[in-house]
Amino acid sequence: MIEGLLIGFWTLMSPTNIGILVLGCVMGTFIGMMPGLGPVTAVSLLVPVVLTMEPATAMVLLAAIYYGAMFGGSTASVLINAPGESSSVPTTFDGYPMARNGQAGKALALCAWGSFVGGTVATLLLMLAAPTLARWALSFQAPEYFALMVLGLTAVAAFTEGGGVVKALLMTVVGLMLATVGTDVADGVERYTFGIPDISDGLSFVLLAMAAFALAEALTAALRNEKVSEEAKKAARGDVGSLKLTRDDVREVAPTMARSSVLGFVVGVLPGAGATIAAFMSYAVERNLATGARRAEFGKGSRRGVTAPETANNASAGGAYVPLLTLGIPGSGTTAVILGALVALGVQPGPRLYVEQSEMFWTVVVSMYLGNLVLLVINLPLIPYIARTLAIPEQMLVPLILFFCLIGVYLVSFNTFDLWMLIGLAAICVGLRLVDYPMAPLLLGFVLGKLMEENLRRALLVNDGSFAFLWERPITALLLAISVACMLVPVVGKLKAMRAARV
Amino acid sequence: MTRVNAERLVALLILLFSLAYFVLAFGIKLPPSSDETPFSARTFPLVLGPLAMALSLALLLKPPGGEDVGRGLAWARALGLVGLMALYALAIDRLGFVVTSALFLAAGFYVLGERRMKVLLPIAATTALAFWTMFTLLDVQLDWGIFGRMF
Repeated sequence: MIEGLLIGFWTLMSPTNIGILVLGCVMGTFIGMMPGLGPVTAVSLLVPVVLTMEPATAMVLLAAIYYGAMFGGSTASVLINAPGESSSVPTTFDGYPMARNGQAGKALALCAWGSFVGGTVATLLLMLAAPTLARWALSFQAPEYFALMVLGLTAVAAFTEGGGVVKALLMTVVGLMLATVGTDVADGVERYTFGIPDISDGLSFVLLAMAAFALAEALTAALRNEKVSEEAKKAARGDVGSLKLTRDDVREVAPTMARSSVLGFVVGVLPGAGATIAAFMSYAVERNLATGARRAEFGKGSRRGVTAPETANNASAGGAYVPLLTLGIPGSGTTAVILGALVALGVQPGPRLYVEQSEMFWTVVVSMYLGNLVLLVINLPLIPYIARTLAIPEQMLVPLILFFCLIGVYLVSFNTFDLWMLIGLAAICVGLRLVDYPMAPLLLGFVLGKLMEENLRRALLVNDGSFAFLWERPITALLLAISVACMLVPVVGKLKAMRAARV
Repeated sequence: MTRVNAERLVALLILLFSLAYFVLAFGIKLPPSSDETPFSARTFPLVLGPLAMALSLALLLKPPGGEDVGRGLAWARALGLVGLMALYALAIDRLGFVVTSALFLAAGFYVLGERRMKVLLPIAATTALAFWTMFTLLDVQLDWGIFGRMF
């Protein structure tokens, strides 16, 4: 393990990589701070750039952007009460009151330290958990992989916020359907290409990620006409106060950080549950554990209240890498985009990655850790300056994001057909978003579709066309049973709510 | 549009899409050898189509209620931006990267309410040129379209 870590550090220690790490963190923070734009947008905007890089450098940039955007989301939560994404919503509960009390700097420092500790603990746990899981998963064959993908997809659909389970499932299936477009691998026949040569290789992942996330989010922001209030802009330009933590602060939040790190990691590992659930859960846990005066502080500027969700959402980001790297199953929209980028770079995450390309595995681990470190050492001191960019008018920002999407797609292929596809898909995605259809399951289905079909095909061929392997192989059956249980959780919740409403 | 109507419309469109997908699955040409295999290029689409149809039908019959959709949204701005992107796709091969990008950005700023020409034109032009310089340094050849023939 130590050897692996050293290899990872060795691979990453070049001036280029360090520069990219810093740049990625700052850019991520900048994008994450914008209202309505979160880590998924930040990561998907960068995919076309990343695809031109070495895999190791690409991973560094993606990790940096991911963590940077999460931190940017917390900055906006604290300073202007406008979370960039749902996982930093609980940060506003106590972060914004702290800022109003003139303690914005302290709240931001707590966020940064919480993120750092959460990320560090998650990295350590990832190092411990991943090899075990990977070794266990090495015995997996096609039926298990198929069941694992079913589990990944149903879990994400079951725990997706907003819109309900049926919509999430429908989006997953539509994602799988989109994945069947192009030349079939097994039979070599074209499906749903309508004789158009531009899609005979299938729809492009970059294109779909851009359309569903970055472009659709920017267009929705323009449509909703969301504006950062003048008051908030003034707050961002003003003095944030001291960024230092006192000994008393540290004593106050240290236990919170420990609890939230572990909680966040565990939630992050579970497929489907992500940063948002981790953040809300840890906030609730801390409030319930607090007693007396400490409890009364919650909602009015509690230091623990700021620290808990920030620690947990970063730890869960680390946890989400466990199934991504060891099983090749992403648990969220952001990790689905990262998986798509890795596959496009020729790196196939899964148990074999850890065994056969262990230096790649360790590079990823180290880059995550360095991303956290840079956030604390470089981003935090820069925050008062980065915060001023909140004053950039939206009328400038939105066209720039649209422009990045357009050139991101165009410069990959120099094909205007791709631009038309991008615009068309983005328009459809905006329509779907308006009626609360979630986008993450769509992309996840698309990313996993080909693999899922391939594994199902292999499983059926080995079993002479019989579906009996679904219940005859113990691990396959177990995974599928968990998938069914995942589907039942929201149903049971609803029934309980209905019964409670009747009483 | 009321919420229920919007939900129904979207569910209906997805239902039609899945129906077309299902019907077209029968038209997928298979190699002669695949008659005996339990899993052909058609199998997966034939499973996915009905699945999507069932789910969208459920949403069509029992649409979730909620707030109305579309009220108070800045439709003109969003449609303007989509139109500009379409123009970008039309123009890029003809006018080249720099000119098209600068025009797109300037028009985008204008559509979103920035009316000071002294602000929007220089920012648009500088951004386009900066990206052109960056990509040229990265050895990415960007065409100048009809302007390329002038030099």
